[in-house]
Amino acid sequence: MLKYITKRLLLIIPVLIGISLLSFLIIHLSPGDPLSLKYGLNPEISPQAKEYMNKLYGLDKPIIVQYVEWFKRILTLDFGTSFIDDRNVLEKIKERLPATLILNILSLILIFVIAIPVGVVSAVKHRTVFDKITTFFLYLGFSMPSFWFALILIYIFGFKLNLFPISGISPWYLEFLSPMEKFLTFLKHLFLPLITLSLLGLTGLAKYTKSSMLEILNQEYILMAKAKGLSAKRVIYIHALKNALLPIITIIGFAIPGLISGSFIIETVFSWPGMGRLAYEAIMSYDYPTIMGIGIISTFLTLIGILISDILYAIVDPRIRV
Amino acid sequence: MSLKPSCQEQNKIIKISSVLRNYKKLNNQAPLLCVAVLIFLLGLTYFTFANDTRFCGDSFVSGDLADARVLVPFLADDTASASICGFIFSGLTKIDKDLHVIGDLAESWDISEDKKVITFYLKKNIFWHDKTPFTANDVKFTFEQILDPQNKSPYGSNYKNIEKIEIVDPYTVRFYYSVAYAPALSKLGVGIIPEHICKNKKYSDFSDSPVGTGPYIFKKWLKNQFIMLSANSIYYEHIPFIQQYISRTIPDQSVQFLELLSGGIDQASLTPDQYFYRTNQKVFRQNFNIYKYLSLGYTYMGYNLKDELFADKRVRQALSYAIDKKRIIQGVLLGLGEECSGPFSKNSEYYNNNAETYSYNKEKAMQLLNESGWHDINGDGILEKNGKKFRFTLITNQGNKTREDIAVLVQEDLAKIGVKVDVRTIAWSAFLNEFIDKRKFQAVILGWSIPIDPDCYSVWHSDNIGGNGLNFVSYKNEKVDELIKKGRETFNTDMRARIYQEIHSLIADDAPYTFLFVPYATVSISKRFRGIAVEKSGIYYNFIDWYVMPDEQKFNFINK
Repeated sequence: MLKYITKRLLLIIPVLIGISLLSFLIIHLSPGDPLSLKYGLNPEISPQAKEYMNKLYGLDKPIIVQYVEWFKRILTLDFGTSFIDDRNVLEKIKERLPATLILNILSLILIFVIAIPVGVVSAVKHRTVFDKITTFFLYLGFSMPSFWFALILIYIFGFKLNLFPISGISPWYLEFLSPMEKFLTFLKHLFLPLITLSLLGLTGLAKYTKSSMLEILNQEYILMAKAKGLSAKRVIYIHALKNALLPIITIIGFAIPGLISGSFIIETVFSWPGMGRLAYEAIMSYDYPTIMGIGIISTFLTLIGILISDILYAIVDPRIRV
Repeated sequence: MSLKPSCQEQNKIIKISSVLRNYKKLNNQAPLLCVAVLIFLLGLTYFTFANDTRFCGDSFVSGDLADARVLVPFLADDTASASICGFIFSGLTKIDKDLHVIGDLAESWDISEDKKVITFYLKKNIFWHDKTPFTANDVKFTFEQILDPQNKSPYGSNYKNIEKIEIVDPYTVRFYYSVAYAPALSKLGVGIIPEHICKNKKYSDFSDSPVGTGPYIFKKWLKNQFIMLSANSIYYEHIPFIQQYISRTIPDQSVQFLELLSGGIDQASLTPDQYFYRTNQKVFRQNFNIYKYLSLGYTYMGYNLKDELFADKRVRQALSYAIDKKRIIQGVLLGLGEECSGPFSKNSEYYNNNAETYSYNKEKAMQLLNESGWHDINGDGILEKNGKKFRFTLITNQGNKTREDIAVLVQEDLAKIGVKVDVRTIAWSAFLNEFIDKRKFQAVILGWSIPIDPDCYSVWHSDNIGGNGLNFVSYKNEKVDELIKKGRETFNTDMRARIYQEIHSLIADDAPYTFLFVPYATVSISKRFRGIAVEKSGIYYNFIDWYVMPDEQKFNFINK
């Protein structure tokens, strides 16, 4: 097992190089460049100044040279400085990470807590009224545009009923509040984005659980367990559920990189200062160092996530172990 | 250091007027006159003995679509950063309500006989926010920093004519220019930075805790959430009445509007749609004022003069006559804009009101086209000349809904005179690199912002036709070239006005652009803020004089 893990860990290195090289090339070869975007058609800025800055940022060198330089820096965990504001990329990511992490972790928990029971129950009560109602809502949630749903929530609960703040993560007068008030306003600010993210996020998992559960319930060993005279509860929750949840491990693995990659749409509507907007702004302004920084971190986490789910699989499912 | 005209003194003036207002109100009810007089007297006594700072106070929360990027004046290249820098820093000069250059940190200045040397006499009682005195050293330091390419200031070329900066004494500084350069006075208005802090600090660090001499002191910046500034009690004019200025980043415009209505922010700019259809609600009317003023920018349709289709001046004039600007303003801005005929601010003395405006005239357009040899010979509705159809491609950048809509309206208007227009929208960077920079376009819809100084060398002088210069329509008129040079060397405002008015009418006559409109800025601000008046430069020129009546103040818990 240890040998297997080491081998997999070592395998991450070439994959990481490959992916980073590929994304570096794609970003740099896409039409447009940071400087013409920033200073193009600005009468205050002379073309010479633009050229000089091109040199200063090293954008005049061949792409491969730029990549090698970038890679050398990454090895020392130096992600470079952003083209937008000259600040350290890692600093910028660190600044945004907490807001995204807290929202994503809480919503992930909420999603699992709600989606799995909903999926299981609607599979067990397949084709009953309960099943039909939940299926209806799951499809509704699945097909609803998130920005629209978010705006409706803001309009009703934030604006009309005045129960929750409309946007932001904390009020600007936070420092004048007592610790208890601080905590309460934070919860209030968290509520609407969390609900939006969770309600829309749980539909996929619930449907996944349902279909996987339905498949297991039709297996012969379930029939066998029933024939043996086991109670329905035991059959469903011990024999069926255990097997139905196996594929969920894969989802957990993939959820790990998702934790740091915020949602641009939700963050924009709720003015949430998270990773999604950082990445979006970086992409829109051709801020190569920031794009690559975020890219490499999420690639790394994806690879680790896959590894973790593979290992978990091996632990829980004896059939896979070699 | 002395506290300049203080909050208390200023408050007295406002207080008297408020007492008088109360008195007048009561006076309408004759039987209550006695009471009124009594109250008035009481008010007077109160005013005499009271020594509070009631009119100072409250916070102003602005909702902004984007967060600032860098709070260093000479690095700020986006509107959000520039506007926050304006509160924290002051420059040698500034722009007053009538768009004129006046002294800010400079008390006055002299211009030498040959106009190449400008001597600034600095105000003597100015302190940095950390209470260090401000001197000529800071001025010299700032411009040396801008000119040092290592600091990546995009504005370096504005100051490249400076040969030498000399400190005559701690409060006198002299700029030696290699040529006479009139725009210098407004360009030297860039925010001055403190030498004692910046000389051993990286600008990315300074940007996180900027120190200036401006009316507001930097307090706190949570990236992409808010920036908080507080009133500078040693500001040289007087302490700003509003104690905090907060800029909240709210990237979605409809959410911004909901925040405004529910009191989360005090100021938001309105889209034309919101202006007409969302501000009729009672809640809005009761709580907000709307301010409308011309913004400093214009939208135009430019013709590539290197394209033989547009080489004839009469053709360009005809197209200008054929485009119904009123309809475009109505259609895309719901009327929130004004027609314009030249590249200068309509509020300045440089704008020539007698220049040709090309008001909509289909017949005249037809006549001009016929004169220049375009006729619809085969009767297919499209004009021909020498067997060639009058057909061209109009491009604009993707994602700008206003410009895309204008293109469609122009297409419709020109179809009426037999000109076929194909519209293409192209993503911004490809649009710049592949079409504008390479001059591979026929006609384009774009906008320019209007700088405070009328100098238009970079856009209109024929020197900038080549390379990636901004004169991408390749406009060349020797008279205009000469006048632009002359305008740069003339400091006298009246003489400059004559020069630029002439440039305006020459450009209007040559019609390399069809000037379309100057949009209005529409801003709604909570009614509790008083002292706001629309002037030529907008409304923010006197922000430090805005105030809130004591009984209306909302955020007073902060001063406790």
